Amino acid sequence: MTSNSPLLNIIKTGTYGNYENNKTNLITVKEKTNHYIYQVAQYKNSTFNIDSLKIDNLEFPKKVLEVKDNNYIRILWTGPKNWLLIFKSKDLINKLNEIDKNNFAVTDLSHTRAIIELKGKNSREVLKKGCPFNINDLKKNNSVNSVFNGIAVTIDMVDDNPDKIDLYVLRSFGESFFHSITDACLEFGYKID
Amino acid sequence: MSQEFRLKQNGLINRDKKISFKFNGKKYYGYEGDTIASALIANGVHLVGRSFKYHRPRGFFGAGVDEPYAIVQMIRDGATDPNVRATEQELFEGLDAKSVNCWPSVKFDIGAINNFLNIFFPAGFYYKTFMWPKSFWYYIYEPFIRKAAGFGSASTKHDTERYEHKYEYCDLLIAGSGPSGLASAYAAAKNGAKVILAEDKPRFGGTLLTSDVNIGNQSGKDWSENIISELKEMPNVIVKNRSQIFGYYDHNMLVMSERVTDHLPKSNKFIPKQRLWYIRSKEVLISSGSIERPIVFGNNDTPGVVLSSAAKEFMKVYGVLVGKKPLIFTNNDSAYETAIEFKKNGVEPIVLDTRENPDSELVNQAQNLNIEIKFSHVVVTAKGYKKVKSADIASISKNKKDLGIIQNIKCDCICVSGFWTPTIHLASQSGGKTKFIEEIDAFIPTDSKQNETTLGSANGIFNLEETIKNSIEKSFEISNKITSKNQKISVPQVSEQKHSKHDKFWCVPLPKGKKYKRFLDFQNDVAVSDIELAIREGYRSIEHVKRYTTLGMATDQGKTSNLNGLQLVSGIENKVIPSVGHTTFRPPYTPITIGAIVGREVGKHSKPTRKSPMHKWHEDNNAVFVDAGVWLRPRYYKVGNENLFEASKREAANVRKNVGVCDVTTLGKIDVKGPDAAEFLNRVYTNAWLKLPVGKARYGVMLREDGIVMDDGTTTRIAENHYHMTTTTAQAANVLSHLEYYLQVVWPDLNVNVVSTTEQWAGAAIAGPNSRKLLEKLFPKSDVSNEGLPFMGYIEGDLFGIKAKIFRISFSGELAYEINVESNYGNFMWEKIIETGNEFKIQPYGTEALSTLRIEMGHVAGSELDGRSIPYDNGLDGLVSKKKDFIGKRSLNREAFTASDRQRIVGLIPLDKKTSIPEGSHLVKDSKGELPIPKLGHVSASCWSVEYNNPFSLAIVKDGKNMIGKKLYAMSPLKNKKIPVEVVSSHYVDPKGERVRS
Repeated sequence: MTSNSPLLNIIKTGTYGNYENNKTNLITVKEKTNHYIYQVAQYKNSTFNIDSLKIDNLEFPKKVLEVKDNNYIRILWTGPKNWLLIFKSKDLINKLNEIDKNNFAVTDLSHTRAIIELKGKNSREVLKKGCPFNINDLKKNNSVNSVFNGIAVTIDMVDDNPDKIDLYVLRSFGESFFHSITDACLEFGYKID
Repeated sequence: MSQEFRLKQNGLINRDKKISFKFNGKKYYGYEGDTIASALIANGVHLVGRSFKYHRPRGFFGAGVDEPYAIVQMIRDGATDPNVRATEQELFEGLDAKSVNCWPSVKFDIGAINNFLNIFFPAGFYYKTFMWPKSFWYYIYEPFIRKAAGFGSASTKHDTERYEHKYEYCDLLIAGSGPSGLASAYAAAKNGAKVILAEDKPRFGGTLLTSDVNIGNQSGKDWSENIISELKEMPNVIVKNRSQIFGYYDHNMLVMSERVTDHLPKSNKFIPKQRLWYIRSKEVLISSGSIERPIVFGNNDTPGVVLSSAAKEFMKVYGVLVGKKPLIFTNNDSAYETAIEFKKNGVEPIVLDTRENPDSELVNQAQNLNIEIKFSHVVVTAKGYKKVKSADIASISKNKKDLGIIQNIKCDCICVSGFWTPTIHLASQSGGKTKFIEEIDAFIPTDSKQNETTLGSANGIFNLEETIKNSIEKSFEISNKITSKNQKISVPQVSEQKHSKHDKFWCVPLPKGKKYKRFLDFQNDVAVSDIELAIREGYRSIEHVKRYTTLGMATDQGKTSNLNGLQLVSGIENKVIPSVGHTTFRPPYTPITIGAIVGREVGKHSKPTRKSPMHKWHEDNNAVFVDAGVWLRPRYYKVGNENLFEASKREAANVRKNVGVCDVTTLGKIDVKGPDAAEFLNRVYTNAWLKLPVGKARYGVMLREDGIVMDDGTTTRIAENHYHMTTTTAQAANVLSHLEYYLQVVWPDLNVNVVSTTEQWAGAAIAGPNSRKLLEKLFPKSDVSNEGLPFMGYIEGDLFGIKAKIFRISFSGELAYEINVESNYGNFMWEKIIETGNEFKIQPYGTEALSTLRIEMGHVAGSELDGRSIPYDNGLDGLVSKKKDFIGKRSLNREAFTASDRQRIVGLIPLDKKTSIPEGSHLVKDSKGELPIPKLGHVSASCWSVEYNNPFSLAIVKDGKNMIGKKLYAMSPLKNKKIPVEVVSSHYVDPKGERVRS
């Protein structure tokens, strides 16, 4: 069996755009694959105390923009009583399946997203070209749902020194988004390893 | 050509770097830092184009954004840009520009005949002429007017330049880097605010570059340079030159156009030519300054008539003389600075001052320099055609109505100054009100509607000391509010010459018997006589006068003409200016290229597309795609030289005969989970859902509140509290929103979560009599027999190691299944289906064949569920529960919906069994009846029935259930077709539905 990532047919290693003038500040673009993405949603009338829910000893974020991270799993706040969990270990799926189904809906969305990692000094400048959200305000472990050139995107600020940003878009938009984001990178130059 | 008008010294240009350029095909040179205008003037070129209407010769009037008519066509690497102001376009090596509005040349222009026929072209002439013969309008008049209009030609070639957009946020956006802009930016930045300072020109400093003032023991120019250097180093400050803020919108969003590489020869293809900034700022300071307004006199558009401030700027910034024998015509002190500058550069000016005896430091200084000054004098008319050669001047009476003896004096330029008009465009666009200040004869902003403050001369403050003090204090106050910091800067000492009061005089009366054109709006050729005519003809509102005469319109937006126009209207109507009001200021303040507005939304970036995981396979196998929303779906797979009709027929026939496979990934999929999921579905769909067993699917229809069908699809119970809903491709997002709305707003008591899983699953529909055989091979471990997997059944299976969902549902009407696997395995699944299906003669089929299959089965889709029909119209009566409640139920009881002759779906066959019936055709009883012929219904979908080998259509027809067997006509006026048809059942193939259950 062959598993094809969303960008498999278009992503090619190399250096692109204005890289000769920006060798020290080159942006790196990468497709992140083989991640599990799960949505956990608490039912509206559930009185379950979310403070007591932990996955891999990591509590769920409760504030807008907030992301909790322990190097194995990232939990993104995506709305009231709504979280997106990103991880690589299959073992965590079993833990998610143990969550009380009367209070939470747990849905596997692992194949729904293309994930692009942007890394480098000008990453924010790239996003500013198509995303109306105030990117300046994003700090490490912040995430936000916005749009980039008309495509809905979840922006996850994995690090801010230097900037490392994961961008999640619906899989079917993956190619369009990749073309759009790499086009925005051309001014600064970028490489795909 | 030698630069005979270039000063030997002075100016901020780089004299070490010579730049060659072409104008109207002739080669010239200038220096780095020149504009086209300054370089041409230096080379003695004063004729730059022809005017819009009368084709009168045009020179240079301003020195920047205020320029109304020195507009050129830029040519760059074969591409061309119209509407470029010569006073703003910086020189670069190889620049090529040409004049506009002239043929065959700017010196000899055939169109100039308009000037001699001007009696036929008064204001609004196009409303009064060209009335006959009627046919001439379309073929002669309009094409001619279109050809004559505009300032240059848009390029017909693809624009290969790069334009980009950028979204930025800040605490304080400052428009303009003159004294108030710089002082504000510095004070706010020092107090920790995030500041963006935008300057339209290449150089920062505004009037400080041309004024003899002293700030903090430095010249104005040095002070501005030092401030800018410091601001550029501060991490909380963005300093942008060549950047025009041209629009002020709601919620303090302003749009700025940055000319990134316009001043450079063809540059790196990855660097944008221009960038449009969308800036949201907590506070905005408008320091846009003011524009000198002209005094109106005869032939005041002759090349060589310039604004006095522009003449000074040309000398001080570019080291260029606009003339060697200048006549300066003023009603205020500002022009004396220009006169003094001429004198300093060895040129003897003559000053005509409309004032009788002004008492002023500047006037005294000019007198001490032995500059000739004639008080109570005016320019009656400029003389000369392509360049000012002399001027008729005269003394003027105290009441400014009577001219004295006219005398002619030689001059080669007339520098005119009629005082200053604050630039209030942005403040007005922000929604704020304006008020007229008698003292300065101009409007200033008042009552801000947004977080905006106008400072400096844009606010009518022409005193530098006051401007800098106000700016620093206001900026500190604003930044303190935002940052809560208290880092104050001290107000520097300022010394400048005091100005005396200006004269309100603005228009020179015509001498008896003379009919000189006295222009108000130089860009649109609007003269005093045009406004007078408009008012004589009954136009009273200034907005109507504007539209009738074009005063203040187009790219100039009345920068130099609005106030004089208002003065004239108020004078004729005997009203004060505030009661005349002013016209609306609209963005953009200056012309913005279409490229900048479009940005990167070009080519493949103009619209995102959605692709299924099998897209590459489809591409590799000659799929011809069709847009389904933003999805790209295979319409058909081309074999050899097949066309759409042949290919879709082949594909559909193969489904009926063997087996076909169709990519149905695009269908919307929604995961519905929760203890109340069944109850939720029961309320959303028209049929009953509480008793659907796990492992079974059900077809459902959901309505809007008005009873109209919203969408249909199957929903499968995967587990006790878990359902897999499918929607149509087009309505997927709307259905999800619909469900979210009801869950969040109407039924918050239900514990249900809905989430789109469209992208999680790649889907393949396998349809045809051989589909079960194929399924047996694909899922050897699963029981897919009619008993093991009955119609509307659901099981999970193992597809060569991949977990798959198998639904026995059918859109084609054949024995059919839909297989879903996780999207990463979509292509793997597809290849396995094709590979395994070969022995059963499998063929992929596209949306066209899919459409054929569903039409001849009478299955409804988007063309029937078109936002106008109810379930009964589509023969879905059986799906409407009489017992339970559901969204839209009460609306179904409306009189029109229950009428006995209500429209209903039927089938149609052409009587000749050959002629295809166009979709959208109207159905009538009598094709030859008297117009309008009553319409009985319309054709919703048509196909070529592969089962019966003749055309077949679905139609929605009034009283459809009693129409079976009737003969009607399908009329298509668009295709000029009138087809006799017979009404038949909509279920043309397998009306009992035996195949799907086989």
